[in-house]
Amino acid sequence: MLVSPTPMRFALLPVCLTLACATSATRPTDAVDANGFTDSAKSAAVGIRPEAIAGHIRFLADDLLAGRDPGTHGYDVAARYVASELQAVGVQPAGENGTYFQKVPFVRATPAIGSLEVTGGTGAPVSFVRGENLVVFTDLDKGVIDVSGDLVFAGHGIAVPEYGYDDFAQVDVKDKVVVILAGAPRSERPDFFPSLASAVYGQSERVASDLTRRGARAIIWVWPPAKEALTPFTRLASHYGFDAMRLEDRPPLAPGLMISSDAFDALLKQSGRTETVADLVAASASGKPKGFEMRLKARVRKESKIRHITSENVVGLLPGDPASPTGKEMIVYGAHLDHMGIGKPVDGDNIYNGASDDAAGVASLLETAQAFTRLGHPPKRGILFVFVTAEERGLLGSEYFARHPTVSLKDVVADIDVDGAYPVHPLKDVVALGTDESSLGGDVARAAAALGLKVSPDPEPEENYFVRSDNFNFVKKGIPAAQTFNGLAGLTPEQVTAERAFWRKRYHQPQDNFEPDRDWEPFAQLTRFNFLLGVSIAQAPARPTWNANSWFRRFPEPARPGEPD
Amino acid sequence: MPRPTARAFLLLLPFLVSGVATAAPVSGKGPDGIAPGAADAAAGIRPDAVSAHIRFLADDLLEGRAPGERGFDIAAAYVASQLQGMGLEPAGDNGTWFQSLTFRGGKLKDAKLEVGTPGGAATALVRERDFLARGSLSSGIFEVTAPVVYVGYGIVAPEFHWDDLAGVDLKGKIALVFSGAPLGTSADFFPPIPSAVYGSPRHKLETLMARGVAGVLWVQTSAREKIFTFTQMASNAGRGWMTLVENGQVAARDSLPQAILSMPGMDALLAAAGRPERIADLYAAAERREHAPFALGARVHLHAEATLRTVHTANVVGLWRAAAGSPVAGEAVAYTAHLDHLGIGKPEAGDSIYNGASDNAAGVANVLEIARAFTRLPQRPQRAVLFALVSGEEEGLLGSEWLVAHPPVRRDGLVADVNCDSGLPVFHFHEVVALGADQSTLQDDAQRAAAALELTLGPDPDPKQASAVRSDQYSFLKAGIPATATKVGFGGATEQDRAAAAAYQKTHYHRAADHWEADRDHGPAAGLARFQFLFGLAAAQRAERPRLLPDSFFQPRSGS
Repeated sequence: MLVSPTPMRFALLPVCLTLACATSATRPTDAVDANGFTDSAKSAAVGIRPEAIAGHIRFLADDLLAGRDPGTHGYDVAARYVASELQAVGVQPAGENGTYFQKVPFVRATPAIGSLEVTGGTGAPVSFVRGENLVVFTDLDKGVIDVSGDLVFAGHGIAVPEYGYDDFAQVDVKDKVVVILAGAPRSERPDFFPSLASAVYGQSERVASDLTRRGARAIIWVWPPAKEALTPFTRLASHYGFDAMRLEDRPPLAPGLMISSDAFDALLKQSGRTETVADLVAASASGKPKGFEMRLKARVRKESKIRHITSENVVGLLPGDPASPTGKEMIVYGAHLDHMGIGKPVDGDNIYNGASDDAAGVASLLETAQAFTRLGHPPKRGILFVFVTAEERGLLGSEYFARHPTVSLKDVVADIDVDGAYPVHPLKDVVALGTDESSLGGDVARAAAALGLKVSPDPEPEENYFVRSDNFNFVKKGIPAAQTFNGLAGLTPEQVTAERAFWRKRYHQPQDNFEPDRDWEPFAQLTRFNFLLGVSIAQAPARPTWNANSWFRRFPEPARPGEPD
Repeated sequence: MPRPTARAFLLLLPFLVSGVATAAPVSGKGPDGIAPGAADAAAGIRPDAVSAHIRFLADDLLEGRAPGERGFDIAAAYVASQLQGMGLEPAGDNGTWFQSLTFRGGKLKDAKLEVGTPGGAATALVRERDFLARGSLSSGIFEVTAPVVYVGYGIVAPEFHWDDLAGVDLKGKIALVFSGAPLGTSADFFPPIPSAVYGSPRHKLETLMARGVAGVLWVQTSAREKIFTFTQMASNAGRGWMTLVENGQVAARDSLPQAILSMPGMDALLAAAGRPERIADLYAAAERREHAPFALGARVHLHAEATLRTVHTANVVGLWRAAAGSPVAGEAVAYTAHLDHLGIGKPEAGDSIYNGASDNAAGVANVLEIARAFTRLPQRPQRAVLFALVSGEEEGLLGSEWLVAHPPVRRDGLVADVNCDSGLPVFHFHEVVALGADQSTLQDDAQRAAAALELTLGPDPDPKQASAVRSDQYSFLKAGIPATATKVGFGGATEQDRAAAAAYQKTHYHRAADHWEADRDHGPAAGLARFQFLFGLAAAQRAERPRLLPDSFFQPRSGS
């Protein structure tokens, strides 16, 4: 168990910072402990210092970087910073053409006007007001949209044969404006949309691409009551003031909007139906979804300013030991370098600095990289560091990397994603999302035990963050993944309250600033955990595997029609 | 004058006395003779790390790091983050990493210079051909009409038996003076350093303003034309100029009307005033100590208008504390390198960003890796070490001037400066140079550091340049603090090495092409950093406070 982080720093071999130099320097006695870690691994972990992490976050979250928005000067400065840091510690370039960079082509659009009009029916006509009961998704395909059509309701807009569920059994969506409930049904049963499957099948881009393929003219999503309880519609709406982005090679999607539950209830009345949103949600949840013509006509108009931009993923590799049979394999550490940029002012501040989201993750990776160079020998598997762009715009940088990898993806055996981690109290436990689905759970247990940390379950399983984060793009390629962050174990009720308040104030707000007075030791400890987790995976003889009964064994899925693979 | 052996033992004394002696053996030779663990710490300075800093600081995204621009601010934030990451302590204002500086910047809008004789018509000189002017940095406007008196170089240097102003009444007059100072070969006739100091505008203005001048007309000389032509000056004038602001005020000299005359401009002035002399005669006489001052019998009207702006910038300062209990823990050895460069300027081959990879991202990179090396020593040094990445060097050593006037340590605590601003070493050198170290006991420390790395300590390769007073170390020397500028020498260098260095200088110095180069070998840069590290460490470890030699030109003197 490692308890004292600082005094060891002078014991480190200062000269052998690069692997090339270190290969010849074998320690005379490198004892292995009960968790499988050598003394050199533990001393490399202890060398992870809070002030080093603070230094990175300070820079990346500086106002000068203007919230690291992809396609802007601030993001590019952050990317150069990371490249320089990788070079300085001896991590090799692993992007395109021998550089640290992978250029990712994007379409970016600034929202302008947008409206929804619904006519017909017997009840009072519903008026839609942006920000109150309507969100107009920024168009990324044409720039000017004016489509009309008959309105149909089609459940969640999905069909999953393995659960005997089909929202299209009763309606044809071709050439219609389709109203659907956001998300997918969910149950506690393994044979009907268990939580993870629900999150995956309900993903908006997946649903939109299906509906587009079925010929829908436009899609109107309904923010269901269950989601309203987690995130109020008006708060959701405030996120749509930012530019939208897509990967350049994404096929076009039918234009989308979102309306509140209340607005849909009113629309149902206007059409003369007797059901409420709650009834329709219940019907889908029971496995007998409803679908019907609403006998209303809808007109969707919107405009946006579209441009083509490039932003870069930053990629570096510490090669594995060439003498090791697994030397060509790699584990990936990922964090996202982008944040939201400049937006609506809150308390006089309009720079969304993203200190915790995800400057902290980037800092953690950089210090993890440095720790690997202190091991004294190359690891048995290579360590790839992937800093992705445009996470905040829909996990786009990681999607691009997974689809256009700069390394051989079949050699990537695991992904560790560091996002959403920002301990503000002494660290007693860690959470490693997704690792109960794979052999990575064992590595998590070993790394935690070495540091005297507990492993806690997902505190918010209903949010399904594991399939809503960059790591999911690796999971979709069949690669076991972990998303690591701090838990709340050992905190007093007051500390838990304080922690929640802290997040409310900062999450996706301009107040997510670097805090010079914060104690960074808890975050250093989390980084030590991330490092040892990687060491455990990298040094193990066997490649990580999904558990025999894991739902994720279905991946990689074959590419579906109309989708890039 | 190397004194190698006995010193090793003397260096141990502070450890023994203060009770922080290490168990590790200290050998007299090599870096560990300077401080235990110094060999490992020095060897840990890696070319990759140096290169990576330069890569970032010289990126186009930093737009040439001009003071007041976002590129400089990003560079400053970068340096602060690096120092914090290493575990240094912030030494700036209010517990931050930054010493805030305010500069006043000026850009010329309009200027005219007319020569009037009693009863005759006024003759206007032509701007940018005959003269260049600036505006007042307090009001923006220079406006003066006054008689003109020619006073040669305008230098008063008693120790060289030199007085250009003897018997001249300058009160209310415009002084007409040659720029610079004579440069002789003998000790009694302006050796390089006194020549540079007495020849500096700042020094002359102090002398002339004490005599009550109403303005100064500087005259370009053929010697200066060889270094920086009037045409170059004219084409650079668009960048404007800057000065320090303290308590809302600029120095009085920044409000004194001034203009620079080209050599033809001087002749035009003399002709318009109806004088028979021409610049060639006057210059030759001044060089031969034969000059005689005279009143031109003409009045000059100078009007110049500038737009002014306020520039906010900062020095970045971090401290590595001395060993607890060290008797000299309150003293600090400073490392300096300037973080600023020229910014965005006139395009050269389609490139308008003056990246300053060698000037002085390279020096900053070295200072950062030197700081890291200090943190790798098993014991803290006897003196504290201050790492200062300063602003406004290119504008006239402004940041270092402020640093010395407002030291972030005890008032008399700054005891020495090792400045790192010598470009990027581009060949594997065998010799190092410590400019200005011969003015102080720093020469011994330089010698020890060089010997520890089996390098020779060579002489200034081009003394005529007076490089010892041409970068930030001069701000320290002026204040009587031992200081040095470190660079590589050519002892043991091949013709190829010399040619490579000359070619690099020609294509990079103050050029838009001064980029970070991916395929450049940064081994020599790291090698220079190792020397700089051991040099400063030796100064930090020695028992006695570094001091100027009794006969140093920089010893405080009356009347200078």
